[in-house]
Amino acid sequence: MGYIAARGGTTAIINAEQLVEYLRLQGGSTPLELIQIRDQLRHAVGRAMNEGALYAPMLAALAVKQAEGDSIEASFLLRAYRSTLSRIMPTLPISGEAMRCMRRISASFKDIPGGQMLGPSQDYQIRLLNNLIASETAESVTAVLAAYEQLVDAGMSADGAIGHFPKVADYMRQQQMIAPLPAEPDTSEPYDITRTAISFPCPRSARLQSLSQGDTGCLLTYAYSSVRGYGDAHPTLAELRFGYLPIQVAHPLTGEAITIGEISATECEIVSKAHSVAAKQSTPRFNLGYGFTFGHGEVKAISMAILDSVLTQAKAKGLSGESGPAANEEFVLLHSDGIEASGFTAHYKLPHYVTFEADLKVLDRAREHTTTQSQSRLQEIATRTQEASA
Amino acid sequence: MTTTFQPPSLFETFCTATFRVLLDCMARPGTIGQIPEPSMFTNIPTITIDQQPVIANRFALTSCLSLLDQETRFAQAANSSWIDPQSDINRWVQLRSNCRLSDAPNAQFVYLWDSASSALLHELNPGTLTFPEQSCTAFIAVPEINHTEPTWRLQGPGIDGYCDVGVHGVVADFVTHINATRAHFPLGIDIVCIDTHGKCLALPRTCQISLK
Amino acid sequence: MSTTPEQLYNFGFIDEDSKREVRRQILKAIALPGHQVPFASRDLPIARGWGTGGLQITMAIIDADDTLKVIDQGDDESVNAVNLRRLLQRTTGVTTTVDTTAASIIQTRHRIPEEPMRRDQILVLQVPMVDPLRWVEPNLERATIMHGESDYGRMWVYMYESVVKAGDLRIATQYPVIVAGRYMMDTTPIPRWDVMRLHNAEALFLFGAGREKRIYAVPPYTTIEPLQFEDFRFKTEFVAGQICARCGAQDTFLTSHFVVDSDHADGGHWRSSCSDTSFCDKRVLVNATTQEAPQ
Ligand SMILES: [Zn+2]
Repeated sequence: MGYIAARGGTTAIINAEQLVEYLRLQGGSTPLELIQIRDQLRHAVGRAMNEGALYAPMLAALAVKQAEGDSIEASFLLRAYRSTLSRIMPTLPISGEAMRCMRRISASFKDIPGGQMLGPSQDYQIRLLNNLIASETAESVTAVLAAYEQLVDAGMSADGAIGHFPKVADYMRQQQMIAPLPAEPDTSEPYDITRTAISFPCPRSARLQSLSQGDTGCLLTYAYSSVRGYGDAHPTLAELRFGYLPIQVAHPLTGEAITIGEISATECEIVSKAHSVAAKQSTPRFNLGYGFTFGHGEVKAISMAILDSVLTQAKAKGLSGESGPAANEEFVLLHSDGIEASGFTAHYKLPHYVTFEADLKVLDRAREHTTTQSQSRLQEIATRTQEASA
Repeated sequence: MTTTFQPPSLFETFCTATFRVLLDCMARPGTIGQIPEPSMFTNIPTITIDQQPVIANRFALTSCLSLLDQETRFAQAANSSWIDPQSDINRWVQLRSNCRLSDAPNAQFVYLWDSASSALLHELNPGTLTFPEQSCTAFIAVPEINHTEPTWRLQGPGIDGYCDVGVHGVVADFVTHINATRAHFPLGIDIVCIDTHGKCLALPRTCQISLK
Repeated sequence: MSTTPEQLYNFGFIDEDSKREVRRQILKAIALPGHQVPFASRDLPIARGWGTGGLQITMAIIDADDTLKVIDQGDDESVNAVNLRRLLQRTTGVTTTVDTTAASIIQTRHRIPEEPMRRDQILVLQVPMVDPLRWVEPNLERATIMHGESDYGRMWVYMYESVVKAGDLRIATQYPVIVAGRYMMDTTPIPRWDVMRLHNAEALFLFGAGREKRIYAVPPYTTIEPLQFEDFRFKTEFVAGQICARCGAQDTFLTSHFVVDSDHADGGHWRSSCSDTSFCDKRVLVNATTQEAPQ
């Protein structure tokens, strides 16, 4: 029987799993080590961690390996793993000011307190394929490392200070440039969308949590649509920083803050043009949007900051003109999770023959209805013609 | 097939078994379920009412506790008054469930030590029209529940026509207090009565009670 | 990281607090028949849209001595059913069955088993789209208010228009019903055939939508009224004279299969048989024994 192929599930599933493994390994190349993935595919690992919403570099490296580099699949593996873990306690609020920065730039001012620091950035690289990377060897790697370390030693400042900078946004706040956040009921503890389903209107902490685990591509699209023309966003980058953030928790008995480790993170603040918010406020001020990701994810952090700002303004009815889909909080938050969106889109691969059979019956009845209708119409016309000619 | 799970702890087993009883009772008001013995809790707490020590109904208190965690707000009352959130008995529950202690209007779960405390039901959160599920659930300790000497007639979803059940040793206006919590469906308080033997009777807000 | 090839997971996969949250919402769902109760909905090792809502309900209610049946399209051997059963079996160790009458929990997608379910059984339905109002009001915030106010006028207009345009209530599956006289509920993608089997049933029906993060319930002995008009009544897919080509049943939901005979004589043809395969198999077996039995 031809259709039986869709049944007999168990064997088919096991065979499919084996075939996937076979395809991954069939070239016979040396298996990737997790540490190689963690170090050499750090963007893939970072993206898996921020969309998978779990900071665990080695597990993320495993997820990337297992997913054969598919970013949504890798995030999905981490998210599913996260569900097996108990939430022990929230960390204490962290300020980006505590970051040990490797990079920190601002587009708002030429000179900022602490100065601009380009850091590790591909922004000004000429994007030509690099054949040297293709032919890397252990020796060439050692040579590159040695050369860079020499450079660092030579350039080390006398006081040995590294990477702590004041925040540009704090300066702007001092100068009364930034509008205070709209008041929200009980913000003592952030909303946790993994414990309570998001409902609308939602607090800003739910929005930020939701965006921070959103799909990079999706956030980028919404943010882009908003700045390109389907929106009223006019962002300026106040500050973008990448580096290491200490994580602290309160000691369960003494309440004392204890540092439990460091995470690699990207933080972004954008301010948007004052006229948008001016209408409702006595003093025109900029509106601030906030973006944050695990790892080094600048495009996502900027997109998130733009969306946060647009959504805050939309909520305060501060947008003018065409606000576009990016200003619709429910629309943005409910459609930006890559794992949910890909899961549902892919579910159409599942058998639907019961629903299709039911659809067929409805189609049959609709056809009958159309036929009956056109027949009765023909009859009506015939009758009228007769009446007219009589 | 490889099994790849850790065997559940005693407490987890108790929570699941208790939940299945609550589920069955809530889906079929009038059904009398049996809450399992909470053997992992060795010292059941007592409080003092009118200079007399009163021991908690271990089945009622722990079955309420089985639904609590760090996300839930809890309160309890005895002898028609709310017990101070900072009291030992509330700490006892918090230590074992990680719940938050709360005042009555914000509580999601309450434990009432006696039927007299049903006079306080009107202070609880009945939910809102858009979010009626945010209402409070009340666990009430009662002396005895049986089918042999029916005192109440129940009607509503989950019941084939009607169901008679006996709830004994409760204050005279117990039913009045309970029925008042369900006068404005879909708003309302869902109630679980548990007797000293662990017999469990659930009265979701859809359930209407008349005296026999 | 563990060095063993298989990691040890929690009984029922999700952590205890997540289970507790699902349990709390299930109790509220039962107390509010047909009302969609939001729940946090954790990520599972199964994709969103592939049964994660049903799975979380099953994971939250399942006990070590339960007997589990999992079906998709009525079929125990459908790949997705096999996969979900495999996850549940591996993380709970419970006994599984294909026999509807032997199961204490049945998790299903798209069908209610043909054999009537008893009071000691729970049917867990996997739900893709939760809100019947989504057809007329995609905005969740506004739709939630409409449910709160029993503001179902636009849905009635939608249904009426479908009668006028298509000559039938156009919704094939996910047929909207009113539960216990109050809430309008989506009946999941079960065919119309199964809709009235929710009405005043003996078993408890729990609906889980993982991606949409909603749980709802139809308790036993609860009224279900499909949306219909005086002059245009709700009809199932039943066609007079329909018959299962395998077991000869005349009162089951059928799906079509393309069949090629062993001699390939006719190049294949379509035939219909019960979508509930274990029920069909049972009947085939009974037919065989009755035929073999001496007169
Ligand atoms: Zn058949």
